[in-house]
Amino acid sequence: MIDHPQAAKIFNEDVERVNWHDKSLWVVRQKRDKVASEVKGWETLRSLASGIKAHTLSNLDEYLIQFENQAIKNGAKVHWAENAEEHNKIVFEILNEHNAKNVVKSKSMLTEECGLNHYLEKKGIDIVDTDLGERIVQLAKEPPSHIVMPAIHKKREEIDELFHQHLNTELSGGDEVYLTREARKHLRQKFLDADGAITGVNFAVAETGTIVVCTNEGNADMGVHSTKLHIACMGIEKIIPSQKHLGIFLRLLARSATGQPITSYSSHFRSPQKGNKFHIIIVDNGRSKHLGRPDFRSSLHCIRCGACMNTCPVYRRSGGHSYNATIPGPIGSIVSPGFDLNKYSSLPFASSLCGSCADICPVKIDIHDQLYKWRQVLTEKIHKNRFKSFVMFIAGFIFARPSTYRLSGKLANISLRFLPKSIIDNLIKGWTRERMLPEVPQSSFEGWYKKNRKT
Amino acid sequence: MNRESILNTIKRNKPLFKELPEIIVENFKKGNDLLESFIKNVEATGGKVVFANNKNDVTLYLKNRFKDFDNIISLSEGIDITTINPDKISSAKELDKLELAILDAQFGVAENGAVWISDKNTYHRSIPFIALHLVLILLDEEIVENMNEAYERLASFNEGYGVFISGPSKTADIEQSLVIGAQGPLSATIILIK
Repeated sequence: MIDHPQAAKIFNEDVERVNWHDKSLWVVRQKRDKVASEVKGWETLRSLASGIKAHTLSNLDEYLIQFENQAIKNGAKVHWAENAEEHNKIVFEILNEHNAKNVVKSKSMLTEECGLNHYLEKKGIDIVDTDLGERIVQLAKEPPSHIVMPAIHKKREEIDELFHQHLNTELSGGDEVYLTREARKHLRQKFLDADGAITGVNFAVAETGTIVVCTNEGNADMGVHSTKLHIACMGIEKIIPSQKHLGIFLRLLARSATGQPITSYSSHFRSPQKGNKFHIIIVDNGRSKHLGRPDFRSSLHCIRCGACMNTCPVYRRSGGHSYNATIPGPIGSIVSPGFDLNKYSSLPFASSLCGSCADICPVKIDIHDQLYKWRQVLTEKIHKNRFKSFVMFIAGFIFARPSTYRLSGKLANISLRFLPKSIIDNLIKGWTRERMLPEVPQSSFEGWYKKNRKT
Repeated sequence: MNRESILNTIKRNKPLFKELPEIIVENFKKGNDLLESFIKNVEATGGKVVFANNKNDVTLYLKNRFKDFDNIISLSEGIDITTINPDKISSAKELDKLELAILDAQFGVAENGAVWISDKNTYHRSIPFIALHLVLILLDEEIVENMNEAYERLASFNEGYGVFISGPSKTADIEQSLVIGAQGPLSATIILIK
């Protein structure tokens, strides 16, 4: 298994690409700051959003039941899946029942988490991601590297080549208008030929049984309204109590995500169009277990805006793929260990704990605190390292004895001055890779102070 | 059963009850000029704003601007330039050639330039998405300040489908370069009637 530091090292071999990636995301962060500052009561919105989510989690079972009742009344069929496998099976059964072979899907991190595409492809179903960024990574056979901008890691020339290969486009040097128009033609045909549409869910309103889906491209609506079958897949944490709460979340979501005041489309699906079928799959997949972890449960507040990724100095310089998790970046690093502590054991360390993620989070998740707390858990359970414990023991011994401390200081001073550079570099591996040690002073501060105090 | 098992785990694991915070919509009021801010935001989202005195004006404007189009559906009463009878449409496939759709919007939102339409405006839900160009007709006094006020207005909404539309469809998935016109309409025009 490749862990984050190793994968990040590979990403960092191409310095120019790292700088480009870093800058692209920082621009998005700056756009977010600008639009957020134009809203009166932005901080109040964040507090309310956090409070509404905390309340909802404290009453989640009741709200799920209310949502289910309303959805059934509206004419939807509701399914429950305990894990990814069950979710995939349910999707396939519904498709099979309707004899659907060509399926269009709009963005859904949940289906990504469940590995739905792969599962359906093996069953002989043509499943097409219809968000342009997702289509790009699907054609490239890669996972999304960002939850809002799935192809943020791809350069225009690479997309040009990819479309040339798969969609028979002319090589255009990466002309974004040409490529987007070609993708539009390609996807339009897929919409018209589709016999089933899958969407994710941004918000599920318990009071009305409505699901809300936000897109800029209009691809969720194009899919749903072009076919007679709509399957919406949602995690249990997507619930909000009432329709009026959408007023809070929709004001925060797009501003935090891309710096837009709202997405082009915020679609409210309540009941199917006459003659059509509407299925909603409610998925747990470890979320109810996570709810039982008091230190970490607030990560279930997440509305998947991706702002924490855009602001994170580590994400920006290591790329989404280096996290090797469905959700990368700071939020992914506190969610993923809950799924599999061993597999994701390096992620809580992929942070400088600067706290920018928590400052920007629209639902006020204390991301950096949770990163720190996962480190405690991991050090206890997985990263226990005898050598480190021994070193800490020695350090404790020295620091507790002033004379030993002074002696070791002198020894260090002399060694740093006279040992060959190769040996020193080897001793403090990593620290001297991209920087030099400062020149060693002639005396310690204590020595200097003693000498100068008298004059 | 899955349902029971999931609900039971939630019941066991959920935190102590927390109160639902109250939203005081008044606190978000900026009190700025709604029309001015609405227009600014429609334009910022890539949309176009046109002013008209009445539906006759609108008809003339549309006939002139889209004179080359043969496939038009108007669902706005008093704008009679429809060439495709929506009654005869049974699936989205038949709408693929639709060049222009004209719909009434119910209200606009100043803070983001979005307008609300629902089942009663769309006829067939794919019409506002599949059309090459979209025109939305809005009375200029029907503008609320922000999304909190928008949902106050929608408190008794009970139709099967509704959508906030802000500008044309768009994407920035290729190196963050904005392209207007993704999977939905290539242009969106809001016509404000006095």
